[in-house]
Amino acid sequence: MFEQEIRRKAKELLEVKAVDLVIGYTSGSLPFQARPTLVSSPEDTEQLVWNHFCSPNLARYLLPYRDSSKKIALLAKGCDARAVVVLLREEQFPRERIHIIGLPCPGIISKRKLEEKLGEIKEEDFSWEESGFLCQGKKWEIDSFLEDTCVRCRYPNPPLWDDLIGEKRESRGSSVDYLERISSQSEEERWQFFTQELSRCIRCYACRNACPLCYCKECFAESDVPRWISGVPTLSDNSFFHLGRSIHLAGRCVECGACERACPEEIKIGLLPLKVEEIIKNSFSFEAGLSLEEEAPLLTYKENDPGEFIK
Amino acid sequence: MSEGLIAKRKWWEWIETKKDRIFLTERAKKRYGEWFPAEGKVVKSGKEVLFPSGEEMYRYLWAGEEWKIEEREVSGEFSFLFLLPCEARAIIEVTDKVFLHLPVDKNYWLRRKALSLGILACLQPEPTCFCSLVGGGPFWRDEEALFLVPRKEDIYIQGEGELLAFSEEGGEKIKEEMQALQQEVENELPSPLPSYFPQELYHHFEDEEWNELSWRCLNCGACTFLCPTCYCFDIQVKMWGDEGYRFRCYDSCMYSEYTMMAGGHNPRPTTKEKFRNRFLHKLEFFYERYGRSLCTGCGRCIAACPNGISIARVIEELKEADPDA
Ligand code: SF4
Ligand code: SF4
Ligand code: SF4
Ligand code: SF4
Ligand code: SF4
Repeated sequence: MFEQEIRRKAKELLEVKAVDLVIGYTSGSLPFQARPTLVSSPEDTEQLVWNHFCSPNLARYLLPYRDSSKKIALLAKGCDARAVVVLLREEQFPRERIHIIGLPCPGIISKRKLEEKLGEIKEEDFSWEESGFLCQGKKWEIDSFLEDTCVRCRYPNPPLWDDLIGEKRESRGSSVDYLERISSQSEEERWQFFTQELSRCIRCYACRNACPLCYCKECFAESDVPRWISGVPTLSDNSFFHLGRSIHLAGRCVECGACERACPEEIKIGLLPLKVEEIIKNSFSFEAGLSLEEEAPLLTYKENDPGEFIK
Repeated sequence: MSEGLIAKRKWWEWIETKKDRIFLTERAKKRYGEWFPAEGKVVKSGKEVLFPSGEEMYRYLWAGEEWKIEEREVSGEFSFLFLLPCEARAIIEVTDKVFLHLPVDKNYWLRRKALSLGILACLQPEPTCFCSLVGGGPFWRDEEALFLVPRKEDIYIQGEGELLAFSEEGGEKIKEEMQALQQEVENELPSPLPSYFPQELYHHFEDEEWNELSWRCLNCGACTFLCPTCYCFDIQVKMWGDEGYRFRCYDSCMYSEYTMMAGGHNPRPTTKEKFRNRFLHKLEFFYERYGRSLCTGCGRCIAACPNGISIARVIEELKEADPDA
């Protein structure tokens, strides 16, 4: 899947010193896993991989370089590139320091779903093809193995890139349908669902730390004067944290689902910011991370704002 | 110590009578769920029972003229915890050492003395398992705990206590079978770390290697919160005017707040220092103080890490970086 081309491109960028670093994926420490990697010499580009398990949003890995002058290339799926657009719009980086190697995304596969359907699995028993894979003597379509966060993906193609590797893809699903499954439930059912999910949270903050747009130097969750939430993962503290986080991402979340995929407890935590984005979309016809020019409604001040309390 | 075999049905009968007082770890349930049809409570690890993620210590109240302080004491009702060898080692060799070392942590002690451990042999190590590397093993057992090996129709049991009354003699044959089984499972796991390893690590404190190893870590607390041996906690307070309470909750060396000083200085400012602390505490500092590692090789942190960080792999990479190895 374009792995060779990616390596070649990364090598070339480092060789001609167009960039100082390349952020990409390499094989994981477990089967069916890829993990982020940092490449700074042309020889090391051989370790780069690109497959259905490249889950973390690499835009997150740009953040430690905000105060440096390094020029960085990063591999970016549709949602990673959208996050880069938001970071650029929010002036976290000047455009010329970031080189986007855009990758139309085939969707991330959930290892859990593979195991549920196929039982015990070994990497060597899989042979990957364009839209599916061969395993146990059968051909499987990938759709039913995709992560929930990718089933609902509307923008597999990067909206901004310097190089694009691979064919553009059709959008797969819709977050409207996805949310509808929950919105159509009764208030009581929804309450029960969220209560159950949020009481399982151990408040490890993997969701927040995996999010490319949760970049505050001090998060409200960690402030101790005043202390907004206690260190005990009670339902009320957990809810306060997750609702607070979702509001802080309003009009900024790019629906990448990195938060949800990072959660060790498999909590459907991406739903909250997703719902907030739906509201933003309906109210302002705006979606984050699609354009460098469009004004972000909640981050823009105008003297002629129709909202009374803003003026 | 005696040993024997308990038929499945008899075992189930015993479980039924004890079900309100049985704890079972998530991993034990995943492996041996059928043996616990009426398990009481599924817990992440022994830590959840003995050292919960949040616990009130005392309440205080302004009683007009003076402060009144009410201590909160736990009552430990006698119960059983069934768990895997790596999870049992986390209690017996780690948290017991830490919390029952002077000064004794009262709440931990009250809960601990009311808890009987039942160690279930690990017959199918997972890809994340490496207990043998750090001094444990799939058949690791302790004199004070029950040791159990579930088989097809019966369960092998070794130890003392009421459960043994349900068992029947297994004879010499079962001893041999157990030995063969142990050998078979142990062969699947890596061989122990060289004994010089922990001491050597100290000399690698300043190594460049740490930058590379830590780079992909996001300093979340998933690894330390889910680790059965991590024991760090913070003490916080909740108050409303004249009354309130103090409580403790988990803390993690992955967080900035963990080492933040009053004046705003943080001696472990970046990912590298936090990450290095976690691994050095696990593999070296704890070893120096207690003569064993603060990691039982359960692999839970490896499965939990969203960015593919594996302590087993970090150990490998540190070994490789060591010119004396
Ligand atoms: S990653 Fe999951 S468990 Fe951790 S804080 Fe987020 S929702 Fe909670
Ligand atoms: S909140 Fe979740 S879905 Fe939204 S940008 Fe952050 S990680 Fe992605
Ligand atoms: S550090 Fe990881 S492998 Fe070691 S005991 Fe903790 S969770 Fe288990
Ligand atoms: S590794 Fe970190 S969180 Fe775990 S016990 Fe050591 S200092 Fe505490
Ligand atoms: S090692 Fe993994 S789980 Fe632990 S803090 Fe780093 S990113 Fe989180």
